[in-house]
Amino acid sequence: MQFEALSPDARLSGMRRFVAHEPKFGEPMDRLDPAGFGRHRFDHRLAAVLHALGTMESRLPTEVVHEVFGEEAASATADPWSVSSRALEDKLIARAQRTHDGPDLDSKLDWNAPGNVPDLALLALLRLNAARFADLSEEARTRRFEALPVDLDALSNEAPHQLSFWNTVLIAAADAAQSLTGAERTLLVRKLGAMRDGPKNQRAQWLLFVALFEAGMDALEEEALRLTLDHAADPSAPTVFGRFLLGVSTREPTQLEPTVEALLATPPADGLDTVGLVAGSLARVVVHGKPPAQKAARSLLLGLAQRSPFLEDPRMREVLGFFGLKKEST
Amino acid sequence: MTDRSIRLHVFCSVKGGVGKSTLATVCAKLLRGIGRVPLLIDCDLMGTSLADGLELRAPDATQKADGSLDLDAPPTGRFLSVNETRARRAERRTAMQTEERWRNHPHPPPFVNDILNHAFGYEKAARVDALIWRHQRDDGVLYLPSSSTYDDVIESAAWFYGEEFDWARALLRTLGALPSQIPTLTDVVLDLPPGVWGFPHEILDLVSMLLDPAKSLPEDYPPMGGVRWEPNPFLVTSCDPNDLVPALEYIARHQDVVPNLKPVVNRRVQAPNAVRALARSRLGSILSIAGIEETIAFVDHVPTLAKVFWEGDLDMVDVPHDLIETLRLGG
Repeated sequence: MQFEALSPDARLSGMRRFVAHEPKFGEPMDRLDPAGFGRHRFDHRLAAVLHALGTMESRLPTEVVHEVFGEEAASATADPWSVSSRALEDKLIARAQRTHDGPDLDSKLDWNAPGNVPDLALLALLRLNAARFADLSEEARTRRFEALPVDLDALSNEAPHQLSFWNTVLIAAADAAQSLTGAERTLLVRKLGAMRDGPKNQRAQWLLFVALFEAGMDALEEEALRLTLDHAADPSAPTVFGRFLLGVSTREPTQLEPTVEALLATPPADGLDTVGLVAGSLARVVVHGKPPAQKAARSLLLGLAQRSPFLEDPRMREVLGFFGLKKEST
Repeated sequence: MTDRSIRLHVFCSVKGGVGKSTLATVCAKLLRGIGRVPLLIDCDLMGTSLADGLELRAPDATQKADGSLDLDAPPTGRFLSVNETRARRAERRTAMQTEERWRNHPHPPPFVNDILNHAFGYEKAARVDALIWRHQRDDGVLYLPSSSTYDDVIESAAWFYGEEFDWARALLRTLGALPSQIPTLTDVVLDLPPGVWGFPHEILDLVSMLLDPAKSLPEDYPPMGGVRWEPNPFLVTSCDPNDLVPALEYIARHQDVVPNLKPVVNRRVQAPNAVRALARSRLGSILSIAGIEETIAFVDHVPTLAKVFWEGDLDMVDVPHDLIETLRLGG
């Protein structure tokens, strides 16, 4: 309709100008020109699709939405619709498991994301459904663990998108720790142990050592607890401490209480939310623990609710109500 | 008690329309596909029926002299065609609307409503083996559909909301008769009505008793047929927070008594990461740490599963294999 609204002369002039931009046949003009494609070269079209898939289900930062689309869009609460499906995830797994070698298979563009197709596929997969990390082949997982950088802190300035990729992989590995083979676990411990000093490196060690302890690596208990205490004020501390308590209580449910009491006896770090840390981590044991551990955690929550600082905190009533624990206490 | 065990697959939901009946039906078909003998009992008596959705053939059950069903008679071995079944259902609808006597006597074809009513009224189980429906393609699943006719639904609603009706015991009495009536039976799939109160809650309470070896059924409960019942319960939910949040709260609240009640999200519009994030944001700061949303299993394949109702049938070759894992049917 817009086209028809133009005068015939204007239409003709526009078409001539458009034709003048037609690329010459046979010469790749840009990286998305099919004439430049080949199995031995980086597939920009596939990469563009994977890159888009990895970001499609994320909301843009509000300030960006406001600037581009206006206030109404920025205040909308609707979540993005899903593009994901089991079939799509299966395809992403197949792509993520492929090897890539040779410099021609690396992107020359600034993707703000991994520069190769297998890692782009892995990132898209983990952003759509992180739980599918466990469905990757051992070889594909091991390849990523072997490639773990020794210094995540250095990446935060040099290549923040790489830091984001490795953080995503490490969190997925921690969540899938129960599914990793003995060789993978040993490799992870070796690679993490070889990391340099630095807050991001230490945080990675903390997340993985606790997860691997929960998954059965007894030797990591002491280090996992030390790192947990070091990170007690971290926003993820309740979740990770919950995982540590699951490891403890799976081995010996009666050790749950002394472990929590030892934490409570430790001088709190600045800004530590003791109630959130302890109640949240015990709630995790109630949901994910084996029956004896669940019972011990319920009992401990009820006991803690009777004393300060838990007694005064309204969140304790919320937790007790959520699990119906008041019923048991009466 | 014998060494025989029967698995009891239970599908409930906070609200209707979330795919519960579809999953229950697929569960039964998958069970048959792996060589078991499942009975699918459609306990959702509030307005929909597997008999309308699937190409089912009603049994040509024995009738009394007045034309009503004899629910104590043995199987005839005969089945109506699908068209005859639909015609008989229409006759039942008309008869219940026009003749008062059919409110107290079961008109053919037999529905699960009649079986529960019989078990409640006479305090004994009907001959369920004589009242089982079959699929037109003889898929090997045994069906007991509910009735969706107006008067049957009104009566069921009265059972729910007004009249004294002991759902749990009526169903237990029926279940207890199955091991002897159907010696080859290995699985029962229960498609419960929407809601996690009343009858569905009572069934989940029963499940909790069957799950705990230290517990025994109350003495006034009917016997369960001398076999070991192994519950496999699911709470089916959508991505809608109105549905998802109360579903997770119900699971948390009953986690100590029904520890294997598994939340299953029929995923349509949101990816797993987004659904889990949504649940965390709605459950509150501490409760989000508990990670109850991590226990959610996701089912997609919606077009494939919907064939059950769109086309009235589902070929096993169309069924994605990971569903067996999600529904805990292996091993």
